[in-house]
Amino acid sequence: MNDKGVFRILLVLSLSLIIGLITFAIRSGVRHTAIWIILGILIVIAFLAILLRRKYVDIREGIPLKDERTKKVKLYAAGYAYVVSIYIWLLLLAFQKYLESDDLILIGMFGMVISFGISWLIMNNKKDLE
Amino acid sequence: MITKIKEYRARLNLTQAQLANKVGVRRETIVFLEKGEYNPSLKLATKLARVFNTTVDDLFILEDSDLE
Repeated sequence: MNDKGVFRILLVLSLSLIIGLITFAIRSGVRHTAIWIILGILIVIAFLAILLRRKYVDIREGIPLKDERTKKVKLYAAGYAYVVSIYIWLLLLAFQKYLESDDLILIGMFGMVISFGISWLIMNNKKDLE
Repeated sequence: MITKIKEYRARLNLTQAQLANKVGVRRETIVFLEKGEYNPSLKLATKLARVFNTTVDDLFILEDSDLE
């Protein structure tokens, strides 16, 4: 997928989140839990807005969104996250009798996402990346 | 690894973004390259050397510790 395609997907995602947030806020009123969820989504939208702005500036200046370094960072991060994920699933399997299966899958998936995020942060700041 | 990218870039009066644009990488990659914190591929190293009209050997100096 080219850079403009990535930008369009992010834009659609951001707009969907905003529309979803407005609909959710109207339907749920001022419930305590709803406020926390709205706050969480607002943080995600703010993060996406910053990301979109940076990508828009890069595309306008003709700078690619991906290059050999970002590809290497992603590959290494995925490798580390895969290993960490195995341990997460093993740990969750050990505690499976204390958890509902839905929760188990949700925690596992969430753990995989978090482990990739942390691995990406570490690899992106790593010196002497080859 | 020691690089002369910053030195050559200053000589040509290029910004990091302009250099990134010329060789087709992100600006962050140029930042890491200038600090000697990223080993580029031979393709990227050659592209950089061509922009500065020099050789890869001149642009990147590998120390003994880099070769261990």
